[in-house]
Amino acid sequence: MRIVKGLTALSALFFAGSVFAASPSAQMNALLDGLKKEAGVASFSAEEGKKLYNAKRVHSQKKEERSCTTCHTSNPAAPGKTPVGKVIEPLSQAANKERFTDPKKVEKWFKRNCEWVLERECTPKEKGDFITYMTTVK
Amino acid sequence: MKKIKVWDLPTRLFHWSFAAAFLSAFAASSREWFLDYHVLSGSIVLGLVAFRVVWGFSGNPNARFSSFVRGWSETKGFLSGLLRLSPARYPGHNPAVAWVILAMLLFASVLAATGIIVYSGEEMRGPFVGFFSFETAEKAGLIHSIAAYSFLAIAAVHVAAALLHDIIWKEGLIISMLTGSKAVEGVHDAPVVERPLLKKGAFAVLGAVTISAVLVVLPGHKDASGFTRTLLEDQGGLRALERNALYEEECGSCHNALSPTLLPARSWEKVMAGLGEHFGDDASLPEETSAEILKWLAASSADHAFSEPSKKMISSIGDKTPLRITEVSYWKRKHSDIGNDVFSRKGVSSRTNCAACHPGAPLGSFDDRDISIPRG
Repeated sequence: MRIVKGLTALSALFFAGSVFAASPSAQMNALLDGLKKEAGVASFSAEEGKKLYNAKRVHSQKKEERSCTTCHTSNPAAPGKTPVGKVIEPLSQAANKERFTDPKKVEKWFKRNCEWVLERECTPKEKGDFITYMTTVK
Repeated sequence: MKKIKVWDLPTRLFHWSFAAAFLSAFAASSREWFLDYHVLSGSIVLGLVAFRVVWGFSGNPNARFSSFVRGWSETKGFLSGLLRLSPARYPGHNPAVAWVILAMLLFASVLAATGIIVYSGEEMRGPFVGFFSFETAEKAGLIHSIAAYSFLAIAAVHVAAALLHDIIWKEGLIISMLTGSKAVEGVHDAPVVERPLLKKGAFAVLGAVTISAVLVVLPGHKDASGFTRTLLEDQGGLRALERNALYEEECGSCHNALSPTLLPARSWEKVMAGLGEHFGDDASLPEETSAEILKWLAASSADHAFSEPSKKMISSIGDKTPLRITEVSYWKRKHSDIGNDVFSRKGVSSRTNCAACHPGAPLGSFDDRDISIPRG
């Protein structure tokens, strides 16, 4: 009984998803288009994204050097570790195809991690460059 | 003096199995994860006690209580002879060892009874789950330890006495408990009434108690992670924790998603209210997300769980509001002999990785029997 219910719910969800929600890549394209408009640029630069990823900065309060690579390592295709040692799946889409497919998650982690490294939110340009780098780097 | 048969085979088998079963139960009590072996050996002790009691009324002459249990005056007479280093000789059990036997049977029964109470009320295992409260089980646990050490003390006296008899008076007691024969003088045989039905009954009792004990311990197979989930659900003693995907996603991305069952609700409220400065980092969540997670944390907290670790964490915490599980003294005590080298092993990596050694942790189970420490 439970299985039948579960299957019904699952297929309903699938149906709703396919009709009402855009595909992941379409959703991500919409996010990127919005960022382009906000940043006032025609395209993003993977090269700039790479620079941002590797840029090191000393935190004003913690007095420690922080960068994206602190946790994600200098190789975005490699698994990383959080400050308390929990394993982080690779960040680049080439190594982890689930990355950068859900705009909500992308925004959530930009908010949390830009604050952690830069002590501010990231600009639309920075976000666009970063996504472009992570979705194209091999 | 001539050598005659004094101990029948069942009595001899009982004697050595009883010693072996008690010793293995005692040895298995040293580590939590030997619980299965402890319960198994303890159950065999219970089966043997039941057998010995029935055998004491139906066995061969020297095995019967009526043949060796004597009143105070005869016991006193024997003891004063012992003190003068010339004890009276008995073909079977002497009056002093008779009381030792009765005391051992009594303490072993107390051990079995209190053991069953602890197993049901604290470990939430076995056929009597639900019969005894956690508080009753804690008291029973205390009596269980006192009885165990008392038993051990009596056993030590018994062994010392047997050695004395053999070394000083060369009675050949110990070897007689193996072969059954002993050199005795002036044998006085009392007439023996055969009780074949009771005799069979003794073996039936032994078989039934031992087999059911084994059946209680054996069922339940571990899943791939080493967690005996079937037991947890089938025996109805513990309900598996309803996992929460939001908690595991939001909190478990940065650190191990710790078990809510180990801290009281007020601790989780304090943690969730201070996410902006969460152990030195900003871990703030949208209002509705943190509210939903807190709702689940509070409902699953140690205040509402009735597993042994939840109860013991609560009483160890008292009226404090700790923010870390690892700072609670009960947690520290339970992990005091686990060195840093274990926590830093690859398969563990951190003190907060509960599931590394407690595979049932995500479901709120820290069962003793499931504990398995990664070697590398």
